[in-house]
This record gives sequence, C-alpha cells and structure tokens, in this order.
Amino acid sequence: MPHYHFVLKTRDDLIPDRDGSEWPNDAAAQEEATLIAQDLMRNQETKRGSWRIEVRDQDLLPRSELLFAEVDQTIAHLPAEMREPRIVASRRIAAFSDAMMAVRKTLSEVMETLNRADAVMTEVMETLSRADAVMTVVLAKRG
Amino acid sequence: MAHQTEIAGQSAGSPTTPIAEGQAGKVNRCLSALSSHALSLMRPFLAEIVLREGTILWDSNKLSSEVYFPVSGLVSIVLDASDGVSVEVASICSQAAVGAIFEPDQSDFSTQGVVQVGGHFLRMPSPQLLLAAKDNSEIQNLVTYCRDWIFMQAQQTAACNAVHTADKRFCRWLFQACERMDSDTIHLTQEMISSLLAIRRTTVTLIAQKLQMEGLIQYRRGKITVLDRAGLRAAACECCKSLTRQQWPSTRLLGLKALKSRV
Repeated sequence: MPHYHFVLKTRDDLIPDRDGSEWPNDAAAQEEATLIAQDLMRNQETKRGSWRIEVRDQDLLPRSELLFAEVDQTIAHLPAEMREPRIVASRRIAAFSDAMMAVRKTLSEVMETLNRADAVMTEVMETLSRADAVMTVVLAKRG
Repeated sequence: MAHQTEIAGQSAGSPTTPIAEGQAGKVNRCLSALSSHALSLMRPFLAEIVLREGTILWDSNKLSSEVYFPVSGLVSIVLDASDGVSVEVASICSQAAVGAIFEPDQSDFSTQGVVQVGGHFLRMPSPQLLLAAKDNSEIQNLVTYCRDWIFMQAQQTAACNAVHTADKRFCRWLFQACERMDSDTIHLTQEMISSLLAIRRTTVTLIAQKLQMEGLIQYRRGKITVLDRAGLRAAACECCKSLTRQQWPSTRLLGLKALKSRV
C-alpha cells in the first residue's frame, strides 16, 4: 500500500510527519488530510483558515496541498459565492506566510554566511598579528 | 440494575493478593487519607491487582461490580459516540477511585473503563464499599468525592471539547496526566491519545512534533517525556486552572481530616 506523509504548514512553521502512514491511493490520502485539517482548525476556524496540509509521497515529493479554509465545516453550509472570498483571502495569507518563511530562511542563511565571514576575518587578523610579531623580531635582529 | 460479575484482573492474567496491614494506605492517596479505623473496615475486602494497558474494566455490555483504587496506573472513562469514535470524559489516577462507585440503579450507563497506563491497583467489591459507606462517614465522603471528581471532569471535558482546539486539549490532557501520576514520563501510544481525544492519529503526530520543536516534550514510540511542565501548562487551555489538586478526592479528604483534628 502506498506510503504518505502529511506535512502541516502553519503561518510560522512547517511541521513534518516523520513516520507517515499507508493509504490505498491519493484520494484516500486526500480524505485523511481533510480530517486532519478539520481536527486542527476546530474552534479556531477563522485564525487557522490559511494553514495547509501538504500530502507527500514516500519519497517526500508533494502530491497535493489542502487549504484549511476549503474544508471548513463552519462555512460549508454557505453558498459558494459567500465561501469563495474567505478561501481566496486564506490563500493570500498562505502565500504571504510562504513568502515570509522564505525571507526568514534567506535571512537565516545570510546571518550564517556573515558569521562564517566573521570567523574567517578573525583568523586573518590573528595571522596578520602573528606575522607582525615575526616582522618585529626580524627587524630587531637586523637593527 | 444489578451488577454483573466481572473479572478484569484475571482476564488480564494478573495475580491478586490480599492487602496486608498498613499497606493500603501507602499506595492510594485516597485510602491513605482515611483514618486507620475507616481503613480497617475496608482492608478485608481490598486486594492488590496488576492491570495491563488496554484492559477493559467495564463497558455497557459488561458492568462492573468492583471499585478500583489506582496506585500507579491511569484509568480512562470513555464514552462511545457514533461511527466507532470514542472520547474520554474523565481520567482517574491514585488520588481517586473508579468503577462501580455509583448506586446500583444509577450504573446502567454506556461508558467504558479502560486502563490506559498499566500498573498496580487495589480492588474492592462495590457492595462492600457501599455498605461500609453507610456505616462510616469517612468512607461515605470518599465515595461522594470520587463521584464528584468524575462529574467535575465530565463537565470540564464537555466544555473543553466544545470550545478548545485539539492542540490545547492535548496539552491539557498531558499536563493533567503528569500532575495526577506525579511523573513527567507517560507511556502512551499515539493511537491511544488519538482515541482519548477523538482526533486522527496523524493529528496527534503533528501536535506532538510541534511541541517537541518548541522544547516542551520529547516523544519516542509509546513514551512521552515532558521537558517543561510549566510551558506545557501555558500551552494548554484554561481548563488546567479550573481542575486542580484542590478538587482531588484525596486532597478534599485530607482537608476534612485536618478540619476535624482542629475541632
């Protein structure tokens, strides 16, 4: 039976499902993703409408993504034209969250690069300092 | 309705041994809060039993005629809902008793008693306990407080399930389990937690993973270790504040004992 992983994407985090679980096919995995989404948003539907469950296969490659607002049972009874603005807004927030996460990741990488550069600079300064000391000794001997 | 005979301990392959003088008081906080006289009325009927996780103490088809005093385990009172989904309405550890503690005509109710965390228990036939309660006010208080404790938890759980999120309920359950079991390590599988909270197993995985990333817990297969109990409480719903040690039957019994000693 195929193996699937259900990754949770909140506004700030990406939470992996390390073990995963087996489901007969993509449709069954999608149904499971819906139930997980409904579990996680119950009683916080408005705040968590932009959260998503990404269904990944056994190689951790994305198969589909489910936006919580799309399966929000509290608005399921409303006509499609009333649900749509909420879903569109949630999708935009989700895209913004992704962008912010990408920015945070880039910043984190930049910080890491700067820290490495700082360490290299410290080593260079130490080497120069040692060379300076050697030069001082050499000059003293010549003098 | 008359109780049926039920032998959960034997079906779990567990030995039972009578309780020696002075032993009962050490092992269950409720019993240890009783005076030696009250305890002596119960001791002849108390037997030690080891119950494994998953043991069904009673269900709607097989009512219990025993009262269980947990020593080191945890019993969940579970209510079956539709479509095979069940949810926990109360959990009982060493500060209370569980089983046939209601009057016989009030026991015909579709709950199930499940040992979630295996361990040592003391078992007493219900008719003897209820008879002793009629003759002794301390034992009567014990029975009343244990009934109150189940009702208080059921009320809280009803409200909690209706208004709080799955992650906050998970934190609440885990915090309360740690408090009641007096341990930061709980042996429980994700399937069991999923069944207690009526959520998907993967939902439990994701919540546990998030808490682990936040440094609040460490989760290994079938074992949860709480690393930051105060942080866990902060992450839980406010239900943690409404049901505290003050409401434990053992605390109430001790309070009453202290009050009587001052009079």
